[in-house]
Amino acid sequence: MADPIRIRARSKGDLTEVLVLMPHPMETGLRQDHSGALVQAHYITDVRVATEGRTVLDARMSIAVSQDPLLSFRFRGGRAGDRISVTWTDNKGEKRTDETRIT
Amino acid sequence: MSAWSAAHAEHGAAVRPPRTRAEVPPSADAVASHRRRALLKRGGVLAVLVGCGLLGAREAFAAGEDRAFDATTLREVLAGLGGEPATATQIALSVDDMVENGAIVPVSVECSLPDVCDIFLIVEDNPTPLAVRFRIPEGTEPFVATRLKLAQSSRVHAVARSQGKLYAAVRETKVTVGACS
Repeated sequence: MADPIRIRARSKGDLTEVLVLMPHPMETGLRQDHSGALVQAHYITDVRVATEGRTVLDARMSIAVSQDPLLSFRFRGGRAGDRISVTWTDNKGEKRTDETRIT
Repeated sequence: MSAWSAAHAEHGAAVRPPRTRAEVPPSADAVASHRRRALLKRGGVLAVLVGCGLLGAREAFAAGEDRAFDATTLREVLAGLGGEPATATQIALSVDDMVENGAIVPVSVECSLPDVCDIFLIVEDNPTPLAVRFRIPEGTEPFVATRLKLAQSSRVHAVARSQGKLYAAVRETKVTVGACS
């Protein structure tokens, strides 16, 4: 199982600034290991960030997103104390959701 | 979702025979014009549905997006997304001119266009150029920052869909060590 997603969401006036770090190998399938064999592709394909039942960002990724994908964005209408959750799905069908509160 | 929109598109493109048959067979011209009108009507209905958000731009573009993600050239990516974007000064694309490590290249985009619903990042010279698509719901600012892999020095494109049209900003980045070695 992948490591927990790190989420930081700070409310600044009407805006909430969100920073998300998702530990994941993001293997391209193009890289060779020591023996010269290709390492199987393993990467996040979809990410959804939601707060209080509302999606605030939806991303679709390819192999070109760096290892341990980092996302930063901001949305209006969030308040301190609101829950914010991040869910990713990868190309092997693995999934992970983590949640925090806006500060 | 994409299968549905594909089926819908096919239905829209299908040429149906005229519904009513006059006793005297209509001239070839009349048939052609009837077909043209029927086609226009269906095209119009589809456009209106998309315009109203009843048939979300999402469904309509989903199939194209799949193609764009599989594409291996910039031209194919843009074709999948819906055509050549216009150059826009309202898109601020920030990426270093020169990076040492192609595996971690910070990229950020901020748009001052109205109603941005999608932001795409494209690395022109990567094996599959389309790197990521962000869907920006109402209430979310048209700003995103992330980190991308660059296999080699390349132009990086930020493409935004605003009110159904595509706009782009481009920057060139030199990479000392590529990401795919």
